[in-house]
Amino acid sequence: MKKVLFAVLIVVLAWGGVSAAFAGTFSFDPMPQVPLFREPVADPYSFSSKLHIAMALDEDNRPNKVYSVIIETDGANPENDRGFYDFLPYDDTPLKAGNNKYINMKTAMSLGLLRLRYSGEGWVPSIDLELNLAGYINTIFNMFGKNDTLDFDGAYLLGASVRFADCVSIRVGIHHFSGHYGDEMLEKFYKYNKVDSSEQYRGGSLFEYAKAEAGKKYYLVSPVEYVRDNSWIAGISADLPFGIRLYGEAELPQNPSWLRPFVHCPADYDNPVDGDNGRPTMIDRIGGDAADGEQIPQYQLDEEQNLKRTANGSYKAWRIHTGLEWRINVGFGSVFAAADVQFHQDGQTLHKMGGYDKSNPWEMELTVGGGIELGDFLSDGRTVRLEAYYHNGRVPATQWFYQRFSSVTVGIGVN
Amino acid sequence: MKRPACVVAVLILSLCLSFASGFEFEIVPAAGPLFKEPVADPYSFVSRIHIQKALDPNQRPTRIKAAVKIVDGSSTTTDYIMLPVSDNMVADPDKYSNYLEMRLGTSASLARVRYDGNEKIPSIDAELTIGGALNTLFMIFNSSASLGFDGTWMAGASIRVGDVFTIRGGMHHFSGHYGDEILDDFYERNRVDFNNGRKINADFEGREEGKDYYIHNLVEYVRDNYWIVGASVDLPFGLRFYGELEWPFKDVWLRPFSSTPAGHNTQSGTPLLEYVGGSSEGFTEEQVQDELKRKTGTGYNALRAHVGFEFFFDISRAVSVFVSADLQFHQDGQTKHMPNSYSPDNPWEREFSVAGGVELGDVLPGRHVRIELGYHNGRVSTTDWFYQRCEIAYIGLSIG
Repeated sequence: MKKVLFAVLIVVLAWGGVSAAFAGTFSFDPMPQVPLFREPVADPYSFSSKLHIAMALDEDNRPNKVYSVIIETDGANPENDRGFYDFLPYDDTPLKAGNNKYINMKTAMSLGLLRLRYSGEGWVPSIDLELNLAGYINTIFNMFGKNDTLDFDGAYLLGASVRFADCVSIRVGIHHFSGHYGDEMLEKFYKYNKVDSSEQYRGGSLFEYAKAEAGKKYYLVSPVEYVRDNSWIAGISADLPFGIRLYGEAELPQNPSWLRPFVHCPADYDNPVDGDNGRPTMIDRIGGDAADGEQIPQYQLDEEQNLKRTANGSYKAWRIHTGLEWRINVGFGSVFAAADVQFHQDGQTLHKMGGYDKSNPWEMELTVGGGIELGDFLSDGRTVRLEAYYHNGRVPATQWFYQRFSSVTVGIGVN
Repeated sequence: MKRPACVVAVLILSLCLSFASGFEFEIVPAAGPLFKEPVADPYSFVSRIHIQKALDPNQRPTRIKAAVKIVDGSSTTTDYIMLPVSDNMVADPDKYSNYLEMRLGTSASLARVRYDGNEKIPSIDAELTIGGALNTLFMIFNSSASLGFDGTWMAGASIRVGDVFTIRGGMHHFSGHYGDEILDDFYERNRVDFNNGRKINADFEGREEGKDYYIHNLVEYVRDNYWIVGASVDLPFGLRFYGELEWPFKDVWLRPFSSTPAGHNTQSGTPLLEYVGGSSEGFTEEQVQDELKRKTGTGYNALRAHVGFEFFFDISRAVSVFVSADLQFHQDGQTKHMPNSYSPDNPWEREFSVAGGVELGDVLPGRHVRIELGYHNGRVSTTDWFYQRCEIAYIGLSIG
């Protein structure tokens, strides 16, 4: 992190020096309206604000069951303890047919800071350079029952961008994801599953498990969580003639970093906590018996480690996405169409212990839509969009990453 | 249906006016809304990242207030009780006093019509405006657990006269939520048994022998929805004064019970005080009636008002320095945030915030970035913890 900031500082200072030496061909804008790398409108994880109503098209794929970390024990032989994930309902209401509408609200900011521009001369194209800061907080809640909130999740990005000839932009930086469950849903979840925290074992609380085997006890450690803290990210975007834009981004978790759930952790990544010498790897720390671990028995962690090692280290929990946008200018702004495709390498784990196989496919998400954009996007102004999308992918709330979701959404977007 | 029709009519009228001499019409003006978000207002629709330091170890968000049923033999009452999230948080203020507030807010003008004015009539701007913010507060320790998430939005309209005086009116929403990680810790620490009516099996301050305690609900903060009206005036020399007042809809959804005024109904027609006190928080009929009696005819309406000023001094076109102060007044402070405690003689609760720093970008039009320092003496910066006072110093970045 320090190295990145230092490098960026050096580049900015160097550019500033050159700028001073060639006054007239260089310009400086401390706070441009829109960053060089614009947020893709169809990207579900973009740093753009929105208020969307989403309707699930498939009753069997709705966010109504919470994927949970469970410990099974016979109460006598700890070596027989077993950890696993399973889906637990949180209430009867969300399971009912027809309860399939949700509100997705995201507030976001994406900024270019301290932009330096060389306007180009002769065969040398214009070059822009800037620092970037972006963040969002996202929430999704039910449009039925008592409008329970399902999730709050946050993301941020720190980085820098360069643009050549007002056409091709490259952005690099560090990227963070952190998911959180909604409090109202959690309250119901504990009640529905009759969680009894007066009896605790391995950091979990006794609960009533519908699939319990005779003679076994089941302890709920926590719902499964999604964290990427932090990843490297790099992206490229090209503004082509006729209002067409193509883009792509890839992100790779840092080593070490904090990453959840443990089944998504790559093998041989280091434990992110300094001084925790008893747990050498990321899998040991995230999955193990530290207070913030998933409390999975060590033999299962070793199995997971071995399973991913046999893949020759190719599994890294990559995320890649690519897409296109097409705008036609009209008097009040523009009309647009856009598509985004996401690829998650963690889909190869099937999101369960022992599920990883190199031959498993990466998980994909498709988002396609369009609408009307008010405001002047092309001249770096702020815009408001009236938009509609079809989405086939994950629930648009990172904590619910394990739940597929096919939906249509309509709403408003703000950049 | 009437409201959307009214909005459409305003838009059509605006378009027609734009063709008349002296009128301009703009969709999503880049200069931002007419009513600028106050920089020191803790509830404004701005984005910010603040690192906070609690200055008073006795005033930190370490205990959650819960509506708890107390069973003593055959008698049952309900009261608010403060229960620790974790023993470490309460016992170790040196370690548990630093927080990170992250707020992402947007305030935008959707459509604006401007009359340029003439020698006799000043310029007039009118616009439709929306604002929204999602806010979260994290601890900078304990795996950075989140204390709360809260959301707020407003939809309304503004008018500015003479490029100086602005009025904004609309509807305003607040909704608080506790963080998931502290809820996990909270139920675990208090050894709560959801299989037995959420019985508390752990010890806590004030627990009495021979009584059983059951959590009915956690105290939450909701204002769904309020009317809001505000005025702002830009004076010479970079000075600005502003003030806003909000009051509840007739059919409002409001929490908690202790803050609920008399004389309001839910949208289904049930008296609000009875619904929130009874179904939601488990108070006895006698306690609900006592609350009703205390508040009826007193003028208590859970109002919120705030005023403030800002002073910007331009160093260059792109850089200015500023100082700002904001003072909040909450009528629900008269309840002391406890059931059956309201008295019109109790003072309104106040919050005081002062901030200063450097602002980058065009100071008046468009967006700007601020590097700021501040002091806040008021409520914790996430609304579900409204009952917890805190005194903090902060440093951070703000974008508005």
